[in-house]
Amino acid sequence: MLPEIYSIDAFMTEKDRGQGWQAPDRYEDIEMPANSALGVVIAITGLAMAFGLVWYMWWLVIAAGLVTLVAIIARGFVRQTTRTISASEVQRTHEHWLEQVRRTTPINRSQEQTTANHGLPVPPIEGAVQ
Amino acid sequence: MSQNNVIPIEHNATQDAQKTRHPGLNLGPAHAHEEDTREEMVFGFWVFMMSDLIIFGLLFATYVTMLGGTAGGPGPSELFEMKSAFIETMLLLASSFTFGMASLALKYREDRTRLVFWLVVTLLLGVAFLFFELKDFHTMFDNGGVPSRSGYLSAFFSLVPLHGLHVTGACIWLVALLGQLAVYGLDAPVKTGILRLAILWHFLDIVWIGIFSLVYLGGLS
Repeated sequence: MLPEIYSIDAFMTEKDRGQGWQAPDRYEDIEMPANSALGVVIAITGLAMAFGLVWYMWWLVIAAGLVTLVAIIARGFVRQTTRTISASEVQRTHEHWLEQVRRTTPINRSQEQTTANHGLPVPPIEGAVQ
Repeated sequence: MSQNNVIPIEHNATQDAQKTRHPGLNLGPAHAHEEDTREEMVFGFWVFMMSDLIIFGLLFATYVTMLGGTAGGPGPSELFEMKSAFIETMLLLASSFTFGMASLALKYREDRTRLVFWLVVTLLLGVAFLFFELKDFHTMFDNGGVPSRSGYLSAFFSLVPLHGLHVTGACIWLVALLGQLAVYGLDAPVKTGILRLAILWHFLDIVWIGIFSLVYLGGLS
């Protein structure tokens, strides 16, 4: 379900034509990286190691190095490195969003700074650009 | 913004059809899944390896320019022993050979015993190399060859122990991979891990050839 882009400023062009906010033909699972503590762990041990090196605190350098090493080795044993957002969840979220867009009343430029502005412009071609 | 700025982007269909295999040892049709899914990982490791090569290249260049800078301290002929450097070279060359056997076992053998055997032999050769290298450094220290003695020795101790540190890291990685092999069996991450470690191992062998030729042979000639 990767977006296919055929022009510069594709979303703007779509909105120009009044064809923005389309639903795709089908929805697919999206694979995302799973959460991992490794980045945070290395941020902390890296800071500790740098501090130890600056102040000649060799015990801290060694300790930080060992924790880093153990963390990296432990990371190698992790097999669940991705999480999948199911197609149905993608569909639910996207259709909810489209429904919200449909229910919103579009406004033109002159109403931009009023409370009528809910973030949806009328197609620029039809006069949003004053 | 008007409608006439629509620029079509050609979709290259042939690009998808001819997907290139990753550089390095291809595992063959039986491991097609690993090859397809992990291609980027092996390629990414090659990129890392080449950036590492630049570091070694710079340190080699530094070493060569520092050859005369002994500041009255001990030089190559007082510090190096050809016998020990030769033993280290043989150990590392042999370990590259045994890793090659491990790669072949990974590619052609279903059973794990042969693969583990060659990996363990490789590990032992790597550890033996490190033992001899540390002994060398110890001898050098005893003869007054410490990094702070001269620019020449600083350059030496930037280059050669960095290679030793790489070998240490590779040995630790090998042990970690053996651990993963024991826990998960030969799954895709273990297979591609061995592929990537093989790249590192052979790379370190090549760097050592450079060190042996330039530092030891060049220094003693």
